[in-house]
Amino acid sequence: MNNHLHIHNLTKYYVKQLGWLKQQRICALDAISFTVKQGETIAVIGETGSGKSTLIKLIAGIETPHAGTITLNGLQLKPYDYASRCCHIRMIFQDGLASLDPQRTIGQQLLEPLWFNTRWTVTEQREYVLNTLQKVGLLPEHFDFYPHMLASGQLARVSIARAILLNPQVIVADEALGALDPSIRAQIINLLIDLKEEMGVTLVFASHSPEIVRHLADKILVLHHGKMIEFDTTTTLITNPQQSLTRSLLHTGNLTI
Amino acid sequence: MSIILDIRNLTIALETPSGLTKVLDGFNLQLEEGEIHTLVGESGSGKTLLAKAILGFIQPKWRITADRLWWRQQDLLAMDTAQRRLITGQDMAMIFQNPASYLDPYLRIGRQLSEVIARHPHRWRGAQRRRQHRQLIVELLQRVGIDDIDAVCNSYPLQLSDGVAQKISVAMALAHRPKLLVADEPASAMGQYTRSQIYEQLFRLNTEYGMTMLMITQDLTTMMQQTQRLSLIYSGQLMEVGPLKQVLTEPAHPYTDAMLKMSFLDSTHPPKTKLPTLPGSIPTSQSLPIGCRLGPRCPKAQRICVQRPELTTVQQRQFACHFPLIEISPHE
Repeated sequence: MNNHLHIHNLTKYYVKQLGWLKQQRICALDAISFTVKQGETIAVIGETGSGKSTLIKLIAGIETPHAGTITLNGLQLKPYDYASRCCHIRMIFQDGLASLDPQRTIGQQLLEPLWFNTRWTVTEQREYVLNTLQKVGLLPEHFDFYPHMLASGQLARVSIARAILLNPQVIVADEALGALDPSIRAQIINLLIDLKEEMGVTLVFASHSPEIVRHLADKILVLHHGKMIEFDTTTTLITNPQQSLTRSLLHTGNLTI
Repeated sequence: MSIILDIRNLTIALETPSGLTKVLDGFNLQLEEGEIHTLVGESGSGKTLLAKAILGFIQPKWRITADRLWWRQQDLLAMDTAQRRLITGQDMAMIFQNPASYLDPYLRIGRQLSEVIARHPHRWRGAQRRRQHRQLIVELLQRVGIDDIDAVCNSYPLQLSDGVAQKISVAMALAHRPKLLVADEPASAMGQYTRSQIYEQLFRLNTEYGMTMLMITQDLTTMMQQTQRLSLIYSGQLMEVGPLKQVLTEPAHPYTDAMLKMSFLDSTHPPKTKLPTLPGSIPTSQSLPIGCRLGPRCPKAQRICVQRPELTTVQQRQFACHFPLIEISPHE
């Protein structure tokens, strides 16, 4: 399919209760439309409160849009249809420790998506999880570990393992790299680059670090107060941005060597 | 330039069930008056502990030893609590990483600011004092770049955005015109735009009042650009110190070199390719390696690295490594 992930007119409001009957609508996303080709990396940038997280959540299906459609390979993804959506679109969460259940082992939590979405036997599922753990640079022993026993870098790897388990077509991430230490972050970036090459997956991520955006993204989407103000390739936006906001968001400082 | 804060061989050990753990091991720092010094360290490197040790927020389980911990030729470790508190209160201030945890959630911003100002000697009484307080608050908030002063003063910390809350804590730190400002990751959780605003404020204070600053960050990319000198610390050990330009252009320590490459500062590195990394992960405080703590992850490590390298001084810079990346001429 040519237009792999197609987003049309996506709109989301948040309703704020001002009194008993009075409501105020706050527009988080205002009629966003764009198309992503297979295997591309899209970075979503913007100031705080510009709707980056909302866009990521809408694509992942955590929130439901008020208007607009998300189409993957010509098939429209309906809200609340988690059974088919979870096989195609997966999310990497920001905080590894908070997004994993502290009472169950890594293995149990990674088996869960397979348990619900495949008809494999238990041995096959276990084998597959062990393979995936190796793919993200963890050891088979980590299958029996609890989340608190792992360091932040290993938890990030577990989050990625959970995202790639079902061979998804799209992976979304919201600030997944922001909270990591530089040396760990570099390892995770390398892992993402490797996995993208191997699986040809589309990556849509939100970030406020211009360095990461410049390094990873093919295309950049700039949001401002819920509106899309620019969407173009990384090189175009770096060399010739149309908006001053884009320039200031992609400005990496004067620390040139 | 006189040295305002002189730290030699500072060691902080924590009492743990398995014995003492040196979370900060033989740290050196000389702050000159009026300079901006940046301390870069990954998580668990003891940078927050260092800040707390300088300001004297010490917990009973910490064992602090140092050859020198001097504030303007006065020994901070030999002082009693009252003297120390006087110096900390008058001359030092700290900005914390997360403003939401630093401000009291139950009090309005105006009340919290007036509490800070009330520490000044009481020159006024009654209504006059309230008016004077109000005027001082307005001045402080204007200086840090807040326009909507009435609305901010009447709101609770939860109602403010991160950037504004951090500006409030900058204003609080300024109320006394401190000589030294320690900022522990003041803008790490903020976006690019807010961060540059806060740094601009801080830099202006440095130029206007000659305030000495110790900025603590996790990452070279979120560093303040006006920094004059840079220290890198790893797992409680000092790796390299030097003037910013020199350290960035020709790093002496393998760790500095790796950090530069991992922070995308090497502009020759093409995008979408793999970054050079340090293998492994940051050691936890329960399992610290002996000798140079970078040893197990260092690309240049050899057998001798199980002995702690001495801090070598070459002109203005210092580094602790057996195999530095720059040539040391023999006569130095």
